[in-house]
Amino acid sequence: MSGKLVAAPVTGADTARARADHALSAAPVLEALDGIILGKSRELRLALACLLARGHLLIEDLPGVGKTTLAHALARVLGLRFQRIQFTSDLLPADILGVSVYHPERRGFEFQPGPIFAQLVLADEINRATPKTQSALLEAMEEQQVTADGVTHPLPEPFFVVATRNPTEQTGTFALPESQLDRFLMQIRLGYPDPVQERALLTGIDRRSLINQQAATLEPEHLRVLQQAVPAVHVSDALLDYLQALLAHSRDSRDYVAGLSPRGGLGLLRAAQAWALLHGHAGVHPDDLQAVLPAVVAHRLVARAGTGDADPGRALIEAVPVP
Amino acid sequence: MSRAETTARLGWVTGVIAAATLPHLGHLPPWVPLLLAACILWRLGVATRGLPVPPGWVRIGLAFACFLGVLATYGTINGLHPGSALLVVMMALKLLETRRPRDLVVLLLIAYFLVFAGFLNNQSLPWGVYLLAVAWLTTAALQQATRPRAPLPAAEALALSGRLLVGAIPVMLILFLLFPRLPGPLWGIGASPGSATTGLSEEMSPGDITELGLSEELAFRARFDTAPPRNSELYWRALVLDEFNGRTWRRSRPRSQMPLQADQLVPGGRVIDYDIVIEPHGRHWVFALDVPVGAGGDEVIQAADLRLATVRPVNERRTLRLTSDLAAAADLALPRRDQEHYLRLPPEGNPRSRALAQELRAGSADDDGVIQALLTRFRQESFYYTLLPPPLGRHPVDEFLFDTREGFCEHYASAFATVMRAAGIPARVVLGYQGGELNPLSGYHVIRQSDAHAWTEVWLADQGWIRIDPVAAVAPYRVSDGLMGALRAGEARAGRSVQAMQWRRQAARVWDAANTWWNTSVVGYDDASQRRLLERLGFEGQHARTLVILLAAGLAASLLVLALVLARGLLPKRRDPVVLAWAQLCARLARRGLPLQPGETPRAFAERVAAARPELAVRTRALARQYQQLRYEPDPAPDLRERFLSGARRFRPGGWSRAVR
Repeated sequence: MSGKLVAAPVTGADTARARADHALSAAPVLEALDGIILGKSRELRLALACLLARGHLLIEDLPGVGKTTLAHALARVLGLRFQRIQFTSDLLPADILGVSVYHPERRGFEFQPGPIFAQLVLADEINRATPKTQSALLEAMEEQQVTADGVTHPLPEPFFVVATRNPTEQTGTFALPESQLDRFLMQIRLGYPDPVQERALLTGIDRRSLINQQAATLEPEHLRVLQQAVPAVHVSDALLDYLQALLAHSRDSRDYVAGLSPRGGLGLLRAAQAWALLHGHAGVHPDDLQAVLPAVVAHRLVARAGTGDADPGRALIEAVPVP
Repeated sequence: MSRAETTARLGWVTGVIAAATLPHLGHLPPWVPLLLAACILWRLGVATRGLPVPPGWVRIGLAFACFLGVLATYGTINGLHPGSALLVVMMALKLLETRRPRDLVVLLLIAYFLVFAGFLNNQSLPWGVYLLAVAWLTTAALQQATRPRAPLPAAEALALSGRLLVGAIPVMLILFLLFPRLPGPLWGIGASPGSATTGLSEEMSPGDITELGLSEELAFRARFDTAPPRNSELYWRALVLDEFNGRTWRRSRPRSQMPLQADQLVPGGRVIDYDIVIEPHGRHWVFALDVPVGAGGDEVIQAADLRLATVRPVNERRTLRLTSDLAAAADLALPRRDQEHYLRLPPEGNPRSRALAQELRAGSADDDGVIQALLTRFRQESFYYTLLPPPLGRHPVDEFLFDTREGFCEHYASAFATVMRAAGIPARVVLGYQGGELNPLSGYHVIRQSDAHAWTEVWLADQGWIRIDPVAAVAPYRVSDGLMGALRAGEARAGRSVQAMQWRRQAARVWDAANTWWNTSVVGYDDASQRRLLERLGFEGQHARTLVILLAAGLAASLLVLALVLARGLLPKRRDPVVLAWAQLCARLARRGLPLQPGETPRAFAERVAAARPELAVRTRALARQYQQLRYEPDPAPDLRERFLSGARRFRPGGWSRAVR
């Protein structure tokens, strides 16, 4: 298997070959990631699917489980320009977006791009920053651009934010409001590694140097092609029926405080398409939808108190029959 | 609710009230509709012009006054007419105090009652159609009045309630056909005896039948089981008149009341079975082809003069099953006493006729010769058949025979019978109908009042009573073509296009066929018809039980069908064979202990089956893969569908599986 593939443009007449190419080109990426982050292949695939679906990823977990490593490894493997922003309570919007600085020799202001002007931005511990700073990041994410002093600066392509947050019970954090959470396509947890993987981690080479040794397995141009192929993945009426049944149940059921928003439904579809693309499916299967659903709804569905279900996504899947 | 909406609702309700009251206008005292109109106008004035609502004491006073008014008008508040008058009054007064939609609903429920009372009042087809339309309108108004949102446009409201009513048709038919019926007419409640007595009367003077000559009113209908007899044989016997006072023929009561003796009739072998549907005439007469030989049931008795009569007067439309023998002979041996009775004439009067009788008797060898001689006289001398005969004086028979020579059937029959009696031949006058028009659409002969006829019977030794119709000698068309034929032959009518007449005739036939169907099958559907229906369906005995069971089953079935039709919109569309085949496959696996888990995808299910039943793994996985391709992927291979369907249908998981989740 070659490490790099030439980008194949997607044409309607040749979708089967293109599909095979997409799956093949994603395989080395996943292989490389699996080599760095042990025992988290599902989370890695979700992260990649999230990126292909042009969404942003929220990782909620305790410190030290490999959130940063994952973001860094993704950037490395995909050959993306990487920036890490550590959110703190005194971080200001300008610290992220950039500032206009006066240049005396040119007698004018010049925009100094902030760390957000990267292809993969790791917003570490986003819930430690003040809401004002949080929303600055989230607005930039949504609009794919930064406006400063009336001038609009587009963010680079592709642009992918991996935000991490500590569980909100921890002290010194500002909870993200639901409206802001909705801007993340997925939320995943990494969790502790299992004993075998942990042993490999303890005895193996340092992850950081491993990442540094890792070469890019995909050209940025090719990544763009994959991203463009995602919305073109076939979605049958039967699958749309299933998706709508899921949305309807989330809205009608008394188990949830609020149902999935239309944006949530669209995100679910895009994520499922990306997942189908990664797995070489000609159309989105119910399995694809079910694979991404827990991650897509994790931060959107809030189980009503007393229903006693820790994973609202899993409960939703089990409540709606596959048509 | 906006003012315009309130007014729209009120408009619907007042329209319905007016429409439901219309059928009752004929019998309501004039003050009731006036009161209703005043109340409607006032209420609309309240809604649109801001008129004050009458205070409570006025309304209560009015209600009391109206109640007394109804009581004073009818002398009672019981019965159909006082009841419907009270309903209209209640509606009018209730209208004044309507405020909420609930009040409108009360009004509309009263309107439904009025519609029902309208049916009791009159069951004819046109009113039936009208009242159904009012019921439809009422339903639309009910739906408008109770609609939480703004009223619909009229066409939409009618369409919606129309759909509701169409949905109710199966239930209606089942209730109509199977709801246990009381013997006797439910509809007869409103018919007052004697209200329909047009037609024949029990005596005959010159000019009596002429009045009927132009009446197109229906007398009765008849349907033959086999080919109908020729028109010239259609003599429908109703009454026999055997007493003559010189001017008027009457029935001598004691004689005609005697029942027929079995030995009076000698069969002739031309037996015909038929049904007749008699329009209510308030008397006991039955119209039967000469000679009636039998009537089904205890309802009809036959008298010694061969006519049939009902036990109860015909106050409602009645269907009777009759048998006649066109060639039967009657009274071959007439007792001497009876012969004398049929020879009796008033002691004086009509001298010239008596003289004529003697003359004929002298010139003829036997009775038959006398009859033929008189008929020849009618035929050869200038006698005219006309609907407009000149009035006759003291000796009507004489004047007719020798002076005016213009007359209608009763003139001829009366004269003929008088001369026969004077000549010593027992004779009597028979009243009834002659002919009838076959409506090919319904298969019924329609006999109208204009077909009323009078003819004579003479008694000859060894031959019994012989029918002689002198009119046949004068205007043979009267007997073969009916009255119109006879009149056209004599009094040519110009200026009317034949085609227009034919078209009108055809339209009249359609209308008549519809009426026949309505009267016999709908209004005339009684416990006997119900019994016949059940027997035709193959249910024997225990009708009450069968009815209840059929009724319950029919209602349940039709409501179920209705529910399914209504639910169709909620259920998924007709299932794709692929989906069906997969569902059946899942069902087969479920019977073997491997039910599909909630939210399980085909692939996940196949994997679970493969784990539980390794021998099925290959086939199950392949089928699940094919199913996913067919269902979720674009442009599946052309033969994939067939391969999957045959594979899935052949898939038979034998044995039992241990449950694996």
